[in-house]
Amino acid sequence: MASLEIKSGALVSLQDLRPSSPFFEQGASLRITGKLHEYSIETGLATIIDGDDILKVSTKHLRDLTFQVGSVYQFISELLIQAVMRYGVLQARVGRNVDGIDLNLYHQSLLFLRQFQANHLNNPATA
Amino acid sequence: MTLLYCKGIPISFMEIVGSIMLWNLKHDQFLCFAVDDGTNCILLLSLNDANSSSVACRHHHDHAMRFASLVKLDIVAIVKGRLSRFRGAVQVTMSNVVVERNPNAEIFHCLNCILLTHNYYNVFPGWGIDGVMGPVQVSGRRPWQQRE
Repeated sequence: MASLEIKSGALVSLQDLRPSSPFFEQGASLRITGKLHEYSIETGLATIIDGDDILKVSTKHLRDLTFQVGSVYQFISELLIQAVMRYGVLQARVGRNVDGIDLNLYHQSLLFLRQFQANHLNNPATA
Repeated sequence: MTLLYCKGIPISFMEIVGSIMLWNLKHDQFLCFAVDDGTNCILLLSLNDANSSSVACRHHHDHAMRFASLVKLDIVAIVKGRLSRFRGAVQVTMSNVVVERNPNAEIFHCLNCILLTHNYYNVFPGWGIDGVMGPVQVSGRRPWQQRE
């Protein structure tokens, strides 16, 4: 079998994808969750929001996914940064409707996981 | 063969909850998935030989066919299996696959894994999580688990 080249999508929230964030780099594999604000069939661009943060997602690689404004979606995608305007568009490769997800619990678990990973990385001998 | 240790405790069997990234079925050879749980992406393998003289191998084939019919790209699945190594990379030989439809399942599993590391493997004995989740009970209902 060929070696596994699929990258894991790092769990991030929308506010982590500001230009000042360490996650904001060309080609980064990211997993984002947010509510669909608008979707254009012509351009294949979806706009998702989470609180005050807005992000555009390109859905041209997705199939068999129906978009409904107001529903919550999760995408695993790569970040494509426009050189001139310095904003990012996510190129989704996997998408899923996650209506019913508890977004508060999601953010709490994200914080918890970050803390855990930070401690874990400081103890490499444990694994 | 034991591959991994956590604080001296050998780990040979694991359960993963994540999104299916890759689906590769070669009839009479193998079925493999790649599962991404947000922290890593791991390959899961099910050997698959319908024509083998071994009853166990044909049984594996039947399982692989059932797994292949259950799983497709983009869904979230719970996969259980034994750890193994192939060309230096850790992979999991599947023993069971269940499709998960609860959108909160990945969150619960992630939190339970952290608790398992903390309470069972005692990786960070002095590490507190009160600031994040409040006191955590070693037994009983976890604060985030829904009331039945």
